[in-house]
Amino acid sequence: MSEPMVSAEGVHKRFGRLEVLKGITLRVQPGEVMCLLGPSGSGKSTFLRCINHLEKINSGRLSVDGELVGYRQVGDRLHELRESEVARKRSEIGMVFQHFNLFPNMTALDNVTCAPIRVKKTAREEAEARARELLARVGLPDKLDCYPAQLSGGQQQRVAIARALAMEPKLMLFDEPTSALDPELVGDVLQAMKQLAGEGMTMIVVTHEMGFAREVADTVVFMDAGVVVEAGSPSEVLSNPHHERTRAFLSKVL
Amino acid sequence: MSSTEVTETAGRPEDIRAAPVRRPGRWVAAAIVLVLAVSIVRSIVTNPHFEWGVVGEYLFDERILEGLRVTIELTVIAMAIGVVLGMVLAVMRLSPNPLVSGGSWLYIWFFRGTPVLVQLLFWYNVSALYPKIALGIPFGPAFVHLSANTLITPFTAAILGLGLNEGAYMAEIVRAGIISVPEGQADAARSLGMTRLETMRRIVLPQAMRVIIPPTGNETISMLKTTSLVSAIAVADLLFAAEGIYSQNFKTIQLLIVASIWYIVCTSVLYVGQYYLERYYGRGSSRGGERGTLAGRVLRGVLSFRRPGESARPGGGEHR
Repeated sequence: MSEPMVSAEGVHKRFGRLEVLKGITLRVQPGEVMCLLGPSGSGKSTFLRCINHLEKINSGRLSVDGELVGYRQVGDRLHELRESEVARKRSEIGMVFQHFNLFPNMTALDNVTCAPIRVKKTAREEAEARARELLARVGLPDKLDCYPAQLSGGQQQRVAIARALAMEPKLMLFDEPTSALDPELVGDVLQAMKQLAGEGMTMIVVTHEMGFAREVADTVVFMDAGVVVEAGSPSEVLSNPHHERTRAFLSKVL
Repeated sequence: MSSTEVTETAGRPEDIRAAPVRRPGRWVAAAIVLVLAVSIVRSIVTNPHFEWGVVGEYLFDERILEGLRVTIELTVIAMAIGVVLGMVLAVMRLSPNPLVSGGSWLYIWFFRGTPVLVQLLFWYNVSALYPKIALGIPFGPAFVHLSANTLITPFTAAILGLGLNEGAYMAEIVRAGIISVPEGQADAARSLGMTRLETMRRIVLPQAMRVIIPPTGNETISMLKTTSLVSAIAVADLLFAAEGIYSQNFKTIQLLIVASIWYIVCTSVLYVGQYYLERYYGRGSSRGGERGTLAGRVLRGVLSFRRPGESARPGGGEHR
């Protein structure tokens, strides 16, 4: 069996006295699509933010592609990574947010080329050519010069996906990518994600789209109150849940 | 026929042409304003004590123009110091290190808490407190010794007083701008691999500028006039030059008018500059996306007064 892309062992996260993650253990293999389901407040988004070190974990072990997130192990002591090292590791992980978080003062094209030019030091022409290609791939070849405010929510989210892909990540994190969208616009975003999954990208998706989870996910993980309640293939977890808590949740959302 | 049925109308529907509501109050108010304005202008023009000839004579006087140059120079340098210092202090204020943010807080508290005129007088007299200024290792040997009296000229005292004071005010303006940028922007930038510093410089500050520019324009206009305080420490600015002339010829009012004309000319130029800066940093926001020149916007504003049914800002919020 190959080395997992993401491996979490007993991950705990506290905000002050509030314990949000109470020992998460799971593995994501390269090329796998994992959907995280669960009620709000169950810690799904926090776990996602821990994976690219936007949040620091309090205990446990979390590693991406065989390397610890945010730390270096020397002997049996952990050393915190320097800011630039953390940033370099983050640049290999793409993230898509619920509220898009596009840079409003930049055009769609500049949003996509910004990080490659500033972080990867890619030449402008090369970055722009790649950005055009990516924006065409998410179905927005004619919106290059639009500012985010001039795009619909669904178009903004697809620009955000292109922006994350421009860094050529080995792992993509999606934090409720369709929750802020009009129902009509959800389909285009899911289509872009489905296409990405088909190309073999490793993806972790926090979502409430059961249809997407059933169709695209390799693994579905149900979380509640900071722990993994149940994990397995979509047919197991969604159609034949073992736990009462999972059944209660699914009966409400399906 | 169902009420929800959609009927196709041929061509464009006709605009509503209704008789407007009569507003006699508006006409009365306009008449009062007009009468007042005419009588004020008439008195200014016809009152011989204004001696407009004297004003014209001194408007381009060499001493006045030299004073104007000093005023502009002081404004530019003090604002430059203020803006840079303000940015540093604002970033310090938001630092997680309590000593760093506390130091910034203390600075702002002190420099906002004392009058700028007192600060100017303080810097002017600082040589009484520190006759010698030495550069070197703290608590260790010094490499350069300078006499404070030669280093702190009235002009440097003015720059220090105005610039350091302005830094405290700018810090609060910049901080307000930074915290107006949603946290998601920094999350997105960092998830793309930018460091904290890059995120601040490339993503947060450019967006904060939209909030920072208008009050900074205010500050610059205010600074232009605040520089007149430096006449108290014998810096030959615009007001000092005017004072120097009227202390000899006793044409006090006329020279104050000369100074005022130059102050108002400068602030008017700053208005125009602020308009274009705001437009530049408003890119991508629907409310800041107004197109066209300043003159065009003013013209539209005037025209819209004549057509009260239409929006005063026809260009506002339109998308390309």
